[in-house]
Amino acid sequence: MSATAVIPATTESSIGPALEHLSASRLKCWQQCRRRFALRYVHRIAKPVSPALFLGRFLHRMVQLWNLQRWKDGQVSEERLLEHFVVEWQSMALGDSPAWKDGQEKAERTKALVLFECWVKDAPIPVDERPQGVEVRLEMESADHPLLIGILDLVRADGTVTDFKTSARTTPPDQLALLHRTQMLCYGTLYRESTWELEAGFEIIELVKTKVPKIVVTRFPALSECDLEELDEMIASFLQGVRNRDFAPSYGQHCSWCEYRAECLGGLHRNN
Amino acid sequence: MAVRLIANYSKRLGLPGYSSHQFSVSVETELRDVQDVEGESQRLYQLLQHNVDAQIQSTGFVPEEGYGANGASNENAHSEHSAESENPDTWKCSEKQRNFIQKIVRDNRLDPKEVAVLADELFQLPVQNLNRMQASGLIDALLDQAGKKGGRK
Repeated sequence: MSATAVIPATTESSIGPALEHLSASRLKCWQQCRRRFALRYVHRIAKPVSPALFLGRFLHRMVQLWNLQRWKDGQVSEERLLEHFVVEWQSMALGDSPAWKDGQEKAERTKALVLFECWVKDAPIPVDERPQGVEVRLEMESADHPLLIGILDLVRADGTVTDFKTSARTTPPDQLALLHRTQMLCYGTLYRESTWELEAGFEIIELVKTKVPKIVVTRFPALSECDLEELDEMIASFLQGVRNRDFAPSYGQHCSWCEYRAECLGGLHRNN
Repeated sequence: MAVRLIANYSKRLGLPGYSSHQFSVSVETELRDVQDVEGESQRLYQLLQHNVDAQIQSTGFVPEEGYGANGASNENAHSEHSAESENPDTWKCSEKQRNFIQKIVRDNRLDPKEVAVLADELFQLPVQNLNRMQASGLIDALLDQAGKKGGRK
């Protein structure tokens, strides 16, 4: 880790890209640490992908293919999915790939295969259930804020908005509710705006990377009127902060896994 | 030095069928008397509120109960679906999506019948009757067919 990384200065014109559109990940990043938001979305400082993130993205893609296959064919072919597994891993590794240590890629790939086989065997969604949408991109225009964009992993037949997460251990429901609240507010709003219907509720499906992998489903109710107001307030606060270039850091436990630690530590060293 | 006062008044009202509409008006004015911020704010607030209230009473199109429901859960929704599918100029998705679907069809020389079959396979609906979420799914499927997935902005 370098302690000489620099936090760039922010000008009024440089905040433009950060307000091109809104998304749950932008809002969540802002809520967690405004400096991290500025480094990622204002200064667009790219960071290498961690092995855990790569594995998460890969499994996300495989579950997406599983969903698309059953949607279009009405069934799932394990053989075809395993062919996809090999091709997708190679294709993703050619793109945004982590700096693997010796033998690490093979180990992660084995972990991914075990977890995906667990999914195919114990998927908590009936194969013949027709989804309303898979990896579906929704947008909401508003006079009050930039375009809100969300890509919903899966919308089930009954209108349940489902999101897939990969985690190292099972997350308690209360923690999941808070951790993914911003996303649920955004996705629920987008679903209503795009379908003129009320979502049936939310569902977070965790693919847990324990020694014996497991699939955990946690359900949450549909949004209330108060929830929608909370999102409005959240967006207003975000816009005001970004326009005022309020990029003050929020130090805490999350710094341990922040990709911009070098930039923050560089600032601390210069101050001392 | 000129002192500017910027005022915005926004109102969102709920409508039947989980919908809502909103309207906001913003003005920017130069203060003649900097001591009168309070008075000028009050005046602008009343002015903007009056104007927003006057306009927002016109609700425009308001969906009936059951609007957009698959399988037409009531008679009204059913007749609305039928009427719309008979009129090829009425699409339920956004104009941007409609233009995009038509562009994909044109650019890739797709047969519109194939598009209709795909919409039917995925959603059991005519293309014109797809809501915005379904249209987004169709766009992905069309781009996928055309081998351009990932190029969507």
